[in-house]
Amino acid sequence: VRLATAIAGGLAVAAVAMGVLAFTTGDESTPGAAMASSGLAVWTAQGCGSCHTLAAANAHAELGPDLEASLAGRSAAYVKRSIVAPNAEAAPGYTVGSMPDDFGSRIAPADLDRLVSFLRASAR
Amino acid sequence: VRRSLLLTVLLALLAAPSALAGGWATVGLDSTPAGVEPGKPWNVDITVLQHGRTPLTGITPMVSIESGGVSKQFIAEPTGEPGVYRASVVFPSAGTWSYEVHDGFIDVPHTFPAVEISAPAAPESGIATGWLWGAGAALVLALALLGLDRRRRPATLPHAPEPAA
Repeated sequence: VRLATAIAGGLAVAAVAMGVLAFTTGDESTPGAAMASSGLAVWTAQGCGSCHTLAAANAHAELGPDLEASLAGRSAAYVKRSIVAPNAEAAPGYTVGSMPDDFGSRIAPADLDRLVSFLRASAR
Repeated sequence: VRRSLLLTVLLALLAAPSALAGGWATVGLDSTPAGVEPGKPWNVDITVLQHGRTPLTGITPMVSIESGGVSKQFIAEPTGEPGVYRASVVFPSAGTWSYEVHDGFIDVPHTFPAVEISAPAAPESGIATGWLWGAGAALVLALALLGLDRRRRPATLPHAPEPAA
């Protein structure tokens, strides 16, 4: 069997295999899934916009600090600490004690990371 | 004059924002309407917590939607779980819709990002087009190789019989 014929045969087999895969695997893109797990979804679920201002979330509440201003340029560790231990330090002009201090137990660790990423990206 | 001034001050104190008096609540949604089609219900659970901590019962939250001058309101019903209410929201048409939730506790709307409501996309074919393209390319390459091989191969015609002497 000549080499070219052998390669052609192999390619033909591959073509058949890929054809089968094309009709059996389907399109796996799921744009909605990414949205569902985003930091904005965590923000929405936890009701953060009821107290804070954040343009990216169309939130305009003024009970707590404007997060675009107070979190701009802050590290991920700082943002996370502000959520799970809000009474450790108050933003200028605000006093500690208003924000619930149990978000560390309410929010799953992976969701907390997503929320932190979302806040840091929104507060730049 | 003094009496009217006193009355004004009293009224101002009474009308002070309830938030300052401690009357505020957070509203959390268990989903956003992203991906919802026009005419289809978006069933959303609304959790209302007084001061972000205590589930609020006995209230009537409402979801309000608006787009291009069209607005609709949807009353949320108690789910049985304290502080959790469920609304079935239907966006009547495709387009950019803003939505907000009134918690029924204080008259301050809870706002969320506007959402793009789109008509249903064409039904999925169920075919992974990447694999299909790959199969086509492999087939073309195989045929080209076979053609090339045939062109290079010398003709193997049977020898003509020797003419008789």
